[in-house]
Amino acid sequence: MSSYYDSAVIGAGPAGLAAASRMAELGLKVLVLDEQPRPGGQIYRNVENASPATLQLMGEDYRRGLDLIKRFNHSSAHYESNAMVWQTSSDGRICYSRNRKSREIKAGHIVVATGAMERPCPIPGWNLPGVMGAGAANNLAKEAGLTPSGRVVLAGSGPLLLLEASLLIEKGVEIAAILETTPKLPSPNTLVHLIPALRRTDFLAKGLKMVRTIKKSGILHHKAVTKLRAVGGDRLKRVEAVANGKTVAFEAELLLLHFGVIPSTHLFRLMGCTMEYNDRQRYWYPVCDSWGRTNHENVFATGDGSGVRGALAAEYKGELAALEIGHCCGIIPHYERDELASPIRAMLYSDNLPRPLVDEIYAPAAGAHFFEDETVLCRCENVTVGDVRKAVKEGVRNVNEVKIVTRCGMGPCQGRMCGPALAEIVAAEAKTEVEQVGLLTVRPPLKPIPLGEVAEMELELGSQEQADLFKNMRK
Amino acid sequence: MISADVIVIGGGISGAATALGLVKSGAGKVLVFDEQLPAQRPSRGNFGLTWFMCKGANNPSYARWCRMAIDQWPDFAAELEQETGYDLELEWTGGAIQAFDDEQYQAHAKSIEILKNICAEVDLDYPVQMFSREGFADMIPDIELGRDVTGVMYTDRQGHVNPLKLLAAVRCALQQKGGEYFAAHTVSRIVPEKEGAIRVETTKGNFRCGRLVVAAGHGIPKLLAPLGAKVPIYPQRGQLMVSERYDRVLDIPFLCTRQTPDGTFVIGLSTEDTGLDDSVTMAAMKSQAANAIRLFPILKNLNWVRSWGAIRIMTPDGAPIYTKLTDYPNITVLALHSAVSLAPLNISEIAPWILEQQESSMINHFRNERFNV
Amino acid sequence: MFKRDQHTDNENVAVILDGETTNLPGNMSVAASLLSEGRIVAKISPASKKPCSPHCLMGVCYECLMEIDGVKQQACMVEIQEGMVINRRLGTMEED
Ligand SMILES: Cc1cc2nc3c(=O)[nH]c(=O)nc-3n(C[C@H](O)[C@H](O)[C@H](O)COP(=O)(O)OP(=O)(O)OC[C@H]3O[C@@H](n4cnc5c(N)ncnc54)[C@H](O)[C@@H]3O)c2cc1C
Ligand SMILES: Cc1cc2nc3c(=O)[nH]c(=O)nc-3n(C[C@H](O)[C@H](O)[C@H](O)COP(=O)(O)OP(=O)(O)OC[C@H]3O[C@@H](n4cnc5c(N)ncnc54)[C@H](O)[C@@H]3O)c2cc1C
Ligand code: FES
Repeated sequence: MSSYYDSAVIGAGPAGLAAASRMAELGLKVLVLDEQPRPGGQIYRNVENASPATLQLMGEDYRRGLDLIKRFNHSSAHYESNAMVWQTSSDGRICYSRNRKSREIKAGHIVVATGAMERPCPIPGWNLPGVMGAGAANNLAKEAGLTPSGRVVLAGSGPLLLLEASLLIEKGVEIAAILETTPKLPSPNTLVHLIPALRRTDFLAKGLKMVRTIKKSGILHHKAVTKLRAVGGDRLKRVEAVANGKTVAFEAELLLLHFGVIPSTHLFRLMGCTMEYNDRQRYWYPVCDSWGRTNHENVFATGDGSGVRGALAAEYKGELAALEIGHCCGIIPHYERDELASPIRAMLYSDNLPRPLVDEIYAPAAGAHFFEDETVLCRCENVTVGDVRKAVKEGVRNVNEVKIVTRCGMGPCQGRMCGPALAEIVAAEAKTEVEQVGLLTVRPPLKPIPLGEVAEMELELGSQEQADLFKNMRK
Repeated sequence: MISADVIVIGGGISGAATALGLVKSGAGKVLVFDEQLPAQRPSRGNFGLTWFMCKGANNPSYARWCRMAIDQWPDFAAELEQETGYDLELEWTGGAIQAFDDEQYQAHAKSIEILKNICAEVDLDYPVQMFSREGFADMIPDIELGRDVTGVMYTDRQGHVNPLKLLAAVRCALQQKGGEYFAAHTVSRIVPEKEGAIRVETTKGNFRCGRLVVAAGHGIPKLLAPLGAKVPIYPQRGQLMVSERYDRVLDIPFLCTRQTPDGTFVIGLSTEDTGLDDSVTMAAMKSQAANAIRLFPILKNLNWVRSWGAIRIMTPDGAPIYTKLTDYPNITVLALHSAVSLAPLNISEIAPWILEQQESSMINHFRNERFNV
Repeated sequence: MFKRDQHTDNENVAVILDGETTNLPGNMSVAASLLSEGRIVAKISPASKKPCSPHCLMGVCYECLMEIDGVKQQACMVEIQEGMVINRRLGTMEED
């Protein structure tokens, strides 16, 4: 296998697949790395093997993945499945692990298409067995044909919560309640965003159908709930919340949480990409130009990882990055790049019309999540919200310093699950903005790999001074 | 303008421990300013050894200084833990350095002889000895030594600590005793004023003090340059790796591999001439991982979770610089490697010396003037 | 907590789970396979000593870490294979 590519694409979701297909079609030498066993990313997970029943249930939004993968398989892009990227640098070097072996390759351009994740939001008991992300249930359905079997509560906020609810309803799952933390009345800003959204009747129709399914089912549906908590000993027993000023409680075997989607930013941070904070959506994203180019000339951000815009936009953004890279590799002139980009930009624009409306309705309110001192914030290291508050009281003002004092973010997930809430808590305690308290530093490896694998890996590019353990001892 | 008796610039282990010592010595109002800068994090990124072994081979004063510090460590830790409730995870289980072949074994043995002689110059013993492979294997029965290990240099008079807990505890004790800690405050300028007062200009306002301690690591040159002073420090990078947790099998720390009480292995440590660049390199990761596995083969299947680089503050002879500026004797500068090992002395020796409560002939060995700058 | 949809017909594979030969549905991740059989506890947290179950099923949370063929791996990111040796090290914890 070769060790140099014009472009390496990390992630085979809609963004990565579109980018890779396009670049390969232009004649570039392309490598695609994805840690999943099959292409598709989160939304099109396992779509190639989906049963007719699943395809039927998930609808056109899922089936579209088949076309995308067909195009990709037909292209000359080289695809490595089960390939977990654990180190990248802006000079184009990438280390990845596959079948328990690591190797290093070099690419002229890196396209980061690693997607998004559900916003982790620590509520009391969220680490009990039986509490999951709503996306997790969605993944299990796609990947393994699994459906929740006991009583289920769905809680949180965002369109994907309602989408999951409507899917489960159609499957006949016993849902005890839907507990939305979304306010009952959207903010006045919503009206401004309604007008462009009206131009996308197809989109609005889909949304309404979803809401109708939920309404028709007669399932208890509370809005503007607060004090959400999962209760149980060794596993979930009950879900509690305050709705309409009263405490409500539901026995449940499974609680599915969802608080919106945020970009996965670890890879960007590892590479030293300049990050910006979206104050409305309360997440960090890499700064990039309209082609997806980050502050590094040869590193491109695309898909939901560069800002959450959904699967279609991810695809379009992938195409745009591909065209610019094709241009940089000397395959197409700039006017052809622009000509090819023009219809894609139009589709991107149209796709985005309803987005500000949705974002506004489901905007996470600052401080709305009531973080309680006893709640476990860092699941890996068992650090509570109170531990973090104590560190801030002792004068600490930066999340990395909090991490050092409390171990919050030091475990195997490397701050993926606690990072966003950690920043909210530190900022609130220090009476400052999230932007001011920093972002957890990301260092290799992006994900744990065995020491033996590193020791045995082949470094193809350059070698460095051997470590001299006794250099200082000789002094 | 807020006034204080003493201001300490730098909240790493040297600055924080000195500030604590100052407060304990009755210095009055003590303020610490600390900015968390990426290239200035050795106190957050070190290996956590509290060692004297091998130190001072060229310098009997340093050898004695290190021993003094290490002998004070257990009491220092106990007091700190009692005051703050922090668990420093100090383990006084000694310390070891492996030899991978006969040549290394002989070299280690010889270094012991040399240090014994040096220490004898200042009436000090050097309680370090060589163990055969088999002899040492009995001391660590739960983990297997690699095939290549021929023997081990060992002393039982030292240990290891969680350096992050140490830093947090020192800072906590400081504040409990009335010292004030200002995170996210960068000192821009030191301005000596009339009658010995010193103005300290920060990004968030100006302060005044009677004595100043500069313990700012690689931030020192910027602060001293306008005063016409400098210390000959240079950067040297070390890279560390951390594993996932594993059953506790190794309680004796090795120079480049130790297991913490919570089960993670810490692996290091390179010595690189790369300026202030604190990046992690794959070449170092590979060689460090290989070295650790060669020492303890069981590490092979253990996951590597995280790594980082940190920049040491090195001096030409490896010993600390503790100095009062010639033109401004109320400004003290502390610049050193091994500040974790030496931390107890910041309280017992350095703070009283800064306050001129006691003369210390030993500290005079570590003045900047020894380098003829 | 989960049941397999009728239209799925994944063949079983035999693995050694916590020391015992166990048949589990194949063609899915180890985590999904265990969940489909009601085995919801993936590990005991080394920090809190409490049981954990998979939370994200997409490789983010690490709550599904278990020893698979000698190395701790994310069970949601590894496909289950015939003959795999899987250890969750649940100790004395009872699974219901
Ligand atoms: C759990 C979840 C469920 C969702 N379900 C739906 C849904 O039902 N309907 C809907 O409209 N939208 C859904 N979304 C949103 C949707 O996933 C995105 O809009 C879309 O998938 C974004 O595409 P992408 O190409 O940017 O990233 P993704 O589709 O997320 O693809 C990213 C890919 O990168 C890979 N990757 C990440 N890190 C690495 C690494 N270090 N090494 C190798 N590979 C890596 C991942 O395995 C993944 O395949 C969901 C999102 C999430 C997080
Ligand atoms: C890889 C590695 C391993 C090590 N292992 C060990 C070991 O095992 N045992 C041991 O004893 N020692 C070890 N050391 C050495 C030890 O870590 C250092 O000697 C010690 O951290 C130095 O502490 P310090 O407080 O003097 O400096 P620093 O930790 O650098 O602290 C200086 C502080 O001052 C701040 N600052 C700087 N300028 C300003 C300004 N203008 N305004 C405000 N604040 C400012 C900095 O941001 C910083 O927080 C190791 C070092 C490294 C790099
Ligand atoms: S379930 Fe979250 S990482 Fe596997």
